[in-house]
Amino acid sequence: MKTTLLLIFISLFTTTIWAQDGAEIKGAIIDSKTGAPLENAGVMLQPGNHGLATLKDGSFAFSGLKAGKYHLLVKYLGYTSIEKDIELKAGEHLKINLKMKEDVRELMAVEIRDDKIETPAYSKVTLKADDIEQHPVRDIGDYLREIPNVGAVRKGGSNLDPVIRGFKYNQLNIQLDNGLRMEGGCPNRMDPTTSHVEAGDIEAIEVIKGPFALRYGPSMGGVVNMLTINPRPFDKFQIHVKANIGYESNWNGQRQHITVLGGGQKVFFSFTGNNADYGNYSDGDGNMVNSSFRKFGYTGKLGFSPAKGHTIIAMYSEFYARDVMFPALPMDERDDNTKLYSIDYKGRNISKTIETLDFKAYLSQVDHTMDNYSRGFSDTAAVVSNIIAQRMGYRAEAGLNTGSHGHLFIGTDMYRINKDGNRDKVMIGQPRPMMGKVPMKHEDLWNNAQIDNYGLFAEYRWNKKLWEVVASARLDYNMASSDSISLMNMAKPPSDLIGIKAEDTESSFINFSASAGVTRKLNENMSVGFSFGRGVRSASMLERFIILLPTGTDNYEYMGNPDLKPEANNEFDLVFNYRNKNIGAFEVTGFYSIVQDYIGGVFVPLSEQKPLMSKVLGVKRYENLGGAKMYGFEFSYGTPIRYRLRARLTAAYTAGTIDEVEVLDFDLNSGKVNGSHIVQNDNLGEIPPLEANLNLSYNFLDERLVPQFTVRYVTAQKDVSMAMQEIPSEAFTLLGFRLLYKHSANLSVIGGVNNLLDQYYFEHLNRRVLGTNSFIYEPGRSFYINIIFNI
Amino acid sequence: MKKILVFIIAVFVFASCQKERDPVEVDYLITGFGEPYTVSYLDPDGSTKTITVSPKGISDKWVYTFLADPGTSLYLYVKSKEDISNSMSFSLGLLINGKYYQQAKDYDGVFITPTDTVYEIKRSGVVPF
Repeated sequence: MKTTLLLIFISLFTTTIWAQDGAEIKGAIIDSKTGAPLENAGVMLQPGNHGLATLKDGSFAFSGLKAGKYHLLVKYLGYTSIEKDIELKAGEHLKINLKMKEDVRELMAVEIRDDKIETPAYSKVTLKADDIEQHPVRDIGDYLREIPNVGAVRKGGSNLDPVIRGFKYNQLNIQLDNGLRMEGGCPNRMDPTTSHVEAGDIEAIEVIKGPFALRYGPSMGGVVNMLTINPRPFDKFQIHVKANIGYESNWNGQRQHITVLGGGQKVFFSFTGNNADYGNYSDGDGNMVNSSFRKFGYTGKLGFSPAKGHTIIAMYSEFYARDVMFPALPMDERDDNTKLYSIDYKGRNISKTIETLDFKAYLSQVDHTMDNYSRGFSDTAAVVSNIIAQRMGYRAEAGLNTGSHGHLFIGTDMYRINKDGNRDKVMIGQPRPMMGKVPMKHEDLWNNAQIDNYGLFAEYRWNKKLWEVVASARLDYNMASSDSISLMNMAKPPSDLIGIKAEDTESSFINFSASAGVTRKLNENMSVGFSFGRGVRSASMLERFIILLPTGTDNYEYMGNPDLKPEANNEFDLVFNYRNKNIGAFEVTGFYSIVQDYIGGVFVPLSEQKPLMSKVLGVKRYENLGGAKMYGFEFSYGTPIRYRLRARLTAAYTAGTIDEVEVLDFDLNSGKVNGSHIVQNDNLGEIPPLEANLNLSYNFLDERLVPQFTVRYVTAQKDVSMAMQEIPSEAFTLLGFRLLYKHSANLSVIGGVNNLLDQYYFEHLNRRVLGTNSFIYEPGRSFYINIIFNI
Repeated sequence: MKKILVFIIAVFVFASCQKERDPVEVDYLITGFGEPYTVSYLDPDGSTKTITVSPKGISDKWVYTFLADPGTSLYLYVKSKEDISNSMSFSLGLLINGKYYQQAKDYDGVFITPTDTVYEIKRSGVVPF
């Protein structure tokens, strides 16, 4: 395969006329990590269509060249291509040695969409470890906000919850390593999936917006696939070590991460360890935000290659969080202990018909403890909740060759979620013991709830000449049950408040999702794509079975509803791409979503259900609210990467409305609900406003010294939800500066400053500090440094 | 040199991971009563204990000491017929590692039964992290 590609590459560009002016370019191509020479790498020189393949020692030579400007392009399967501009003088003998970096997508077969399709008809963004390392990433959810139209809900200093084009929580399919999913423990989503993964463990993050990637589980609003460091075979036994240390001034926060990669041809391994300890940060006005946290953990992977094309990798991981503060929530995360187990089999080139075989089985266990011990109101009642969440599943897929232009993937997947949790209250505010005892309460949050999902999926890819087509479908059978959802009141004898019997908690649904996209190349530089997708998801554990708890969205306690119908997103995407080697690359994506059976909260009159807590406005129950619409666009432009001065400009916008929703009326004196009215086309809540980003950089010393300057502008968000009593947010502009210095292949240093002007601002998706109308403000000016060692 | 650096970082990473929370010493301390009083308190297991203390004099101390993890609920309640509002020696406190975490120098409230006037003092909290 490698040789075939190389021959095609060379045949396309091999010169027929060699100029004669005595100048020459010689050099060698080597692996940037191991230093090993790369044989058969394709080297192309323009103008003149000179092309050749490197020899066994990685060397190449172009001779008899005229003086002038040349453009050198080096390609090698599994590595990132290198482009370089060269100015050659008459008779000059130029020597160039180039180091190629492994391409994560190629080497690790990590693409959700494989390379058989060049230009998807939907929006897909890939962030690589090199990008991530340039930032002070203390939390992946926080870092994902770099992507246009990706925001995150901030409830504290860490563990931000991603939002893609207004879709959030269980509307998104967030996973690790092509299929491993976790169930967080916290009903307030203190621990979204992204919070259980350390940024240093990531090799790449893929974000696919919309309901189009259906091979990796039910997907309604989008997929975030976090690809962690994987072991890989080496020709000879070797060990590589990478260490990363970072510091952020505003948080007085420090991080350490270490990766060990090694092995031989048959057996290979990876080991990573991480530690992060962050204090409280100050906002731009000098106010301290209660935002400290501590995280640490390790991951071990062992790989085995019994025969060529067959790989088995077993993984075990432990990840811990301690004392993660959430000023927007009634509790803080005290302990979070996460364990992950998985085993993967990959088979490649099995036969003429079967190109690929993939199998994954996994188990995730989250033991989550939260309490109000660090809050002022713990004087009244000391409250602690412990939740055990477990998710297990498997995924099996075969990739079939259906002819020279077509590929078919078929497979099956399954997951099971179990959740059980409770809340213990010690009423230490009681002025005296009652009946000789300090009163204590024990309440269930979940009661042995379980969700099972069995899926069948297929995806067909076809490309010929100017056309590329992807069509996929999946069928899910989703079942859920729980022990009785009941809450007893204090009457004598106690009576049932919620009172849903166990047999009435059972539900099952068959969900059908499908998508189709077509891309047409208009010419070598331009393409246009159109996609339609329908993604269906059944209600989450929280929406089905939570027993009276403020879930942090607004100031109400929420009740689960086992009868919720699945929610569906019907989305159209239009993508336009233009790439020019002199001008750069443009991409514009527009989308329009029609959501059916949108799930949200409906107020329950006090006569039916009183809240358990005194400081909330009442109780809401999850219901299907009907239809909603979302629409928007993303724009990106980047100058050619071979230019010294580079610019990248992005912009994104999303808007959303719900067809009809109940808006509550309040008594101005008591603040209590005294009625409601119906509003049509109310804005959907938690939708970020229009934003634009500009990144300017200049490459000195052959990319060894790169200063970068960033500008971020976010407009005010006035389109707020009346039903959620949202508050408008103000516009802001942020400046940042970063300096990258690569001392050698073994040492890189990245330093910079975020929020250079110390702006006092908050993102629209930031939650309010509990009990106030004040938002959690973002960090003020913060200096940072990352030092990366490679051995 | 590079290997030494990486080794140092690795040791630092894993040494950092060992940090867990240490238990603290908690004292429930009452002094200044000259007459018998009733004490109710939460013990480290979370159960409520009630005892009657008969001091020999106002300088007598009642102390209950235990080790507690951060997050442990603390509760100390005293009921007495003795009016300590003008007492200079009365003190009720929760101490953590020898320092006052909560303290009372006077009673909180009073209730009257058909036969007696009863004074109450309560202090409570959570062992901080």
